[in-house]
Amino acid sequence: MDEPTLSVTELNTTIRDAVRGAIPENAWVRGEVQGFRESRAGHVYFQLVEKDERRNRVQAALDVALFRSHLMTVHAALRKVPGVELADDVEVRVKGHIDVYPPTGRLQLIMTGIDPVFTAGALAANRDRVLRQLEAEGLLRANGVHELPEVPLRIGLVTSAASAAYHDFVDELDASGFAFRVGVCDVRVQGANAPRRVVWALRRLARISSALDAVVLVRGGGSRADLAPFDSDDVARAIVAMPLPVLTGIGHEIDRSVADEVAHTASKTPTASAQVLVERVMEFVYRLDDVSRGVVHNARSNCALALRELRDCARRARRGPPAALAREQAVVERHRVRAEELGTRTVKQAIATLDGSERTLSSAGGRLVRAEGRRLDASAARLRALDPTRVLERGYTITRDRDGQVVKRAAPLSTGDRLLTEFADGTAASVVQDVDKREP
Amino acid sequence: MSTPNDDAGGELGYAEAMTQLEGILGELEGDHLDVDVLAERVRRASELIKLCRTRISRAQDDVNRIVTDLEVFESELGGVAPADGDEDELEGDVAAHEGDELF
Repeated sequence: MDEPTLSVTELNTTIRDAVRGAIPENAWVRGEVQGFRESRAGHVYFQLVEKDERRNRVQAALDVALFRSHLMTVHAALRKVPGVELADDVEVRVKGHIDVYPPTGRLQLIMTGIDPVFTAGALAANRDRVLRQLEAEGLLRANGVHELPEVPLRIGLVTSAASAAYHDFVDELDASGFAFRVGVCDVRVQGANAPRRVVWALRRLARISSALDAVVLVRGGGSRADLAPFDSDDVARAIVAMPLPVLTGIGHEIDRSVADEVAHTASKTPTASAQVLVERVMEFVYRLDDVSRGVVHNARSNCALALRELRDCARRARRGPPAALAREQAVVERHRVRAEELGTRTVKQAIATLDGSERTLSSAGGRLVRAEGRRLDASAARLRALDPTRVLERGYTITRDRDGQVVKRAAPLSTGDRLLTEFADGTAASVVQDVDKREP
Repeated sequence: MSTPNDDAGGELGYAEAMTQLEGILGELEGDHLDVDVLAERVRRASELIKLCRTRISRAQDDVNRIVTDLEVFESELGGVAPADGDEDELEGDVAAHEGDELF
């Protein structure tokens, strides 16, 4: 054993010193964050990886340690660019020095800083690249050609079923009172595999598209990196290929995602996306209401016109010779009876339809319809106030003569006339003893 | 209950119902109609309006949530083709996400 033999500590220390000498103190390294975790002591550890772009496989990896002492500096830098954060799957450019930890021989980057503008730029550059490509292929508005049905009640939903986004969307539809039915394709919409999962969900719904009126893709708010899956080329192309309208409700404040750009209708939140559907149904209900009122109104007018014409006919018949008069009067009478019967029934039927419609409408449409209901309640209250029995309850009475005619004035009365006065709780008979007539 | 927007399922679609209703309204607004024809048109309008409203509104005693298993939609179509291999694999992946942080 003539050659010198190093202990493991000596070797690791030699490597550490060589690395420290070879690499600048503040080296910048770029890569994608994987395995992000925080220790109980408040330190952060992750791997920085470089992937083969074509196959999405890791080609190289480097352990990174961000100690609590530098965490404040990094957070301060991140706050300067809203929406950028340090998390899994995010492309970052970080600063630090390379070190070897002798007890384990592990080589790691001791991180001291971050360039958030790089991350924002990488996300934006990817988004722009995908958008340019889709536009060049004429696919940006491809899903928009599918018409959203007038009553879109059958919905395929792509989201994480335990998320706030899911509850916001479903609760909004539920509150409408309309007969929505939602089939949920439960997928996690965050992380490296999110685009693949979303594509899978969309394809699954595409297979049952004839049982659906629309597909909705929702996710709650998040950082730009969180929303990156919605900028992916694969998700965009899956939306484009859908045979029915795709609505998005992806929580974001600043940019629209690529998914928003290719969707039929993009909303800023899951709740807003649900409102698009509710309002679409509501529009149809209002149209139905208008037609219903129109039918009643025109049915009344038509019946009134028919009766008027029959009366005119009867008048003309009376002016004719006696034999013709008898014949024509009989015909007219038959027509009159038939017209009155049909007319009365028709109008009643039309009114019943409208009444029924309003009752049904009151049970649907949630918030919007409750307002309509309040308006009808107010009308009913006004009608109740005019009810004669209510008037009697307020102390007024109705007085009738022996023929049952309401006595409105003193002028026709004479001493000895018998009257019947109606109170709210009964009647009283009386005899006029004296009449004091005032000049009108 | 199915709520189709077209006649593909044999049921009258909403768009078709509205077209018929607007046609009837047009007739009623037009020249004087024979009373028998009027009665028939109003009867048909009543049917259409009732049909649409019944389908659109959720029954007040329906306590079920609006969320339905996808399989129900699939069964309404008489079953759909099974997922291909890649999607089967992903289905397992999707199911395994339980417990992950969700948004």
